[in-house]
Amino acid sequence: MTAEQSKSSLRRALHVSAAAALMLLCGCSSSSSFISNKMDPLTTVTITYSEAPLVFYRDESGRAAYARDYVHLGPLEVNRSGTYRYYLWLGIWNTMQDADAGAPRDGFDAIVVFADGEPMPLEISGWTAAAIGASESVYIKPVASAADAYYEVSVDQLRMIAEAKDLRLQSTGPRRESYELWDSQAGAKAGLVEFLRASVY
Amino acid sequence: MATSSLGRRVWCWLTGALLIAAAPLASAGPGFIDSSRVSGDASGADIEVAFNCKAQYLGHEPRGSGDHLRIHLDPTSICNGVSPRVASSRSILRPVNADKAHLADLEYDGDSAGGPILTLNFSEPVAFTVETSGVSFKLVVHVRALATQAAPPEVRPAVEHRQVARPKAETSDYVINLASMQRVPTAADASGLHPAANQRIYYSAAEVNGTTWYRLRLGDFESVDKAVSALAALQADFPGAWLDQVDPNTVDVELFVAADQELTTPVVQGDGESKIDALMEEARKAMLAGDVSRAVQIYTKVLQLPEHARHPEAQEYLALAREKKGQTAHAKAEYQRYLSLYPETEGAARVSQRLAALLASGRQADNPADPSSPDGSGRQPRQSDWRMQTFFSQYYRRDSNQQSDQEEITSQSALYSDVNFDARRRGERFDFSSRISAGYRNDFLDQGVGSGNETRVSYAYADLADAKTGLRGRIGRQSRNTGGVLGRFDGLNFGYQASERILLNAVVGKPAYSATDGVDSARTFYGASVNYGPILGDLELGMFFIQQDIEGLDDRQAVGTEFRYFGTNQSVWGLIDYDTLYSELGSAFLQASWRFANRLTLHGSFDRRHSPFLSAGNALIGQPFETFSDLLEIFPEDEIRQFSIDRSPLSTTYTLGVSHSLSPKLQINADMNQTTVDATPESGGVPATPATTYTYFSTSLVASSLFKEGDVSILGLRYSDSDTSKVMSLTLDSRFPFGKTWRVNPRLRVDRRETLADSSYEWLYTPGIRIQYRRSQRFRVELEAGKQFSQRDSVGVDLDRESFFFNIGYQVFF
Repeated sequence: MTAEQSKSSLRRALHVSAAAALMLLCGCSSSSSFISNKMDPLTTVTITYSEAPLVFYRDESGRAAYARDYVHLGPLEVNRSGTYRYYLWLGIWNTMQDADAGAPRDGFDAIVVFADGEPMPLEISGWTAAAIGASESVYIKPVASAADAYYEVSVDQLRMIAEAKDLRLQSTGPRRESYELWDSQAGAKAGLVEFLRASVY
Repeated sequence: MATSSLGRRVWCWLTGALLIAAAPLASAGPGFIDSSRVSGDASGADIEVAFNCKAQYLGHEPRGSGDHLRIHLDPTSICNGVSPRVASSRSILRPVNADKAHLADLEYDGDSAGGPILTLNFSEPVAFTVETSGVSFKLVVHVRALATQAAPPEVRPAVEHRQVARPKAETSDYVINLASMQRVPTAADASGLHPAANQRIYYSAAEVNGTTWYRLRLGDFESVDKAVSALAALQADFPGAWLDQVDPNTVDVELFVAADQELTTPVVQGDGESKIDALMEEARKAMLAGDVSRAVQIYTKVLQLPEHARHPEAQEYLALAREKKGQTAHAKAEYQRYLSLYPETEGAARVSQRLAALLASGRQADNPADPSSPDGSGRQPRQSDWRMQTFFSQYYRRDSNQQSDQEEITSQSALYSDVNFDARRRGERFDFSSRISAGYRNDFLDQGVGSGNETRVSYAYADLADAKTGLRGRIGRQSRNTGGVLGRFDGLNFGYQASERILLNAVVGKPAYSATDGVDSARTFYGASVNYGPILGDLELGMFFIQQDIEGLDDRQAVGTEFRYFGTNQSVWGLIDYDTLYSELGSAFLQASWRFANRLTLHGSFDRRHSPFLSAGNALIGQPFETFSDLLEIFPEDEIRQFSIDRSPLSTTYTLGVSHSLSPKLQINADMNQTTVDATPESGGVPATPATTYTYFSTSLVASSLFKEGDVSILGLRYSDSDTSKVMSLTLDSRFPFGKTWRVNPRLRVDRRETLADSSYEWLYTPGIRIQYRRSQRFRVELEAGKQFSQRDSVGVDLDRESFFFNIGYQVFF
């Protein structure tokens, strides 16, 4: 490739980028709510949740350069006849699916969420929506092979997670693995904060 | 090189553009009001006021029209790059186009006696309505000229929730909702309150989501100012109290409350245990009634008695009562006292988290000096603001295998030690944190047999954030996966939160692809990115530019974008990385899920990329040279760039899946996946490689609480087809909890593998078990063991094998 060709392609790419940036900066805005309510038609519990879960990742370059493990994390408030309980939902998946169907759950019987370095050990409440008294997950699984996991938390723990500037998640067990927060998730973070405000006050 | 200098020019151009874009956003300066905007015309306009901290709308006056509008707010500590203390500031500003709304100025007074207030002064009387969404970073006032006033739209909060404050129909009186409960309140619930002669304490019933809530209330207040003042005074004892307007349609039941009650429970004489139990019950009732002052008094009394089994409980509740009372410094001290006295109790982790939450909330900074501090000076007790946490684990792993009747061979015998250390200091302006995450493998096998000892450093960085300017910098070993950065690197990441929706980032460093190999000293990169969102609901967008050099030459140069959308029934996530050096698509990834009625969800993904990622350094693959410079001595640059493309074949993956909840306890998932990797040509002495295809079909059935409450069982079936083999796999995996401390996970996998080269079959049976024991929240022991038997049906050769592995270890944090 000649320098002229490189320069020309770069110019084209920059034009496209600049046009897109202008579109972004031209005042697209929204005041929509980031949380939703849903009444489970079978169990009649009312579930409040943040629409956008937080995304955590872990590079698995040992298997392939582009292989990654992902964990999606979303808060849940479950109202059963006026009794409120709080949970975290985790959607656990991998770009390189393991032949062992149980493998994604390994290490997630217990997890540690680090909020600004503060560890929060959490124990699994269950692997299906039945654990929270619902008939199906309110969160959409990213892939069919993803494992759902539910952990009961306190409002204090939710508050720590929502207010943390630095979040990460760690599975337990011999293959203890650390998941970092995917950058720039303003919507998911705002959803967490709004969820907290709506739940506590 | 031309492209290198061009890259530097682009870098300068981008940096300049970003700074120019950021300048007007930054000029607003730190304060409670972030920005204000007027749109519309003189007959009807909207005034949008954006805050730097989220605030709850409490009410406004006058109602409907006037030449000024006073909006009462309750700011939260949730802020965008500024200290929550800006909520106490004062500022006056006049938005551009203010005349369109007949607006003279906007005045925010966070130090007003009646609580924070936003005043809009108009040049003439106008009609207005206030639009709010409960707790928000912004507020909109619709202004209409009086002569053309339309009917005000119904004010509806965006968040419908049982306890979100929401405006009601206009009346002249206000009330304070002290507490909401699901039982009928009694006079004891309001003990300690002193209503004025013209006020009443009462309760009313309300149906919310099918649940009857009894609302304990104090009223009536003739103005919102008086109600807000009273609310501020009551929030120490009724932390969930909120303001409402009198609803003439409810039936109110008045309560008659006596003056301050003395300790009413008779102290049981003689039996100390009964006495403590009675006091604890009395304190519990006081807490439930919201009389935290009295609860503090009783818990303190309990703790003055000789040591008792209920002392940890009393200590924890004393701290909690102090916290509810707003005595943050005392609460911190009591929580810390708990942790020093009872570090091994079940409640220690809970208390530690409450303490951390208290520290994180920053309430200490916002609280005035506590006149009841122990030294009587009104100063807060001085305590360290540093938080340090250490996580440590050690696991021993042993793997061995044996073929036919030959001697057993141990392939691994090693102790893995990992430590993670976090230190943090949160200040009013600067927030410092650092992290070291490292590990060491101690290999017990002889040299040449095992993998050897090894040190890993995954993270080692320091991070400084400035709340005043919104700037943040992180230096050291870290990881990023956006902005074109491909994972771990050693360097500097610099961020600027330009506004609520715009985040600017710049990064410079050297890749550290492996935690064990150290830095790739040959490569250096720098880049910039901007993230914007959320917009149009829950959509987020990002764009980046990155330039990487290898030994002074252009290694990789790319621009790209990322978008992510999570809706109620759909989610979409996409990444595009375009290499401008090679004019090639480096990577394109799209993933989408769509949920339909009947609990059915479809999933699909498309992933096309050069693997490994396009970079000039790939030309070294398969070559006998150590450095890029060595390669340059033999081949011209253009040829080397062609080699790098030749060594980076395109990989394409399609996935299609479906998941369905058959019942609350039963879920079925199925998916298919096909990955193709293109062939590579022979070049530069490196042989060609053929194209490969790998396909699999997989299904799993997940059942919970099948044998006992809380268990889960997974049955999986998978068929994979590659160019070399076909494999059918069956998996059974069950997880059983036993009490709160034990978990047992038996598993079995059976594979039938057909090797296409010699048409032989191999059966593999892999039973295993995992056992976990949790001694406390901070200490856990685990054992994992398994064996694999394989039988291979090959002509004339016995290839039976057995292998065995086990892991045992512990993890602890302190």
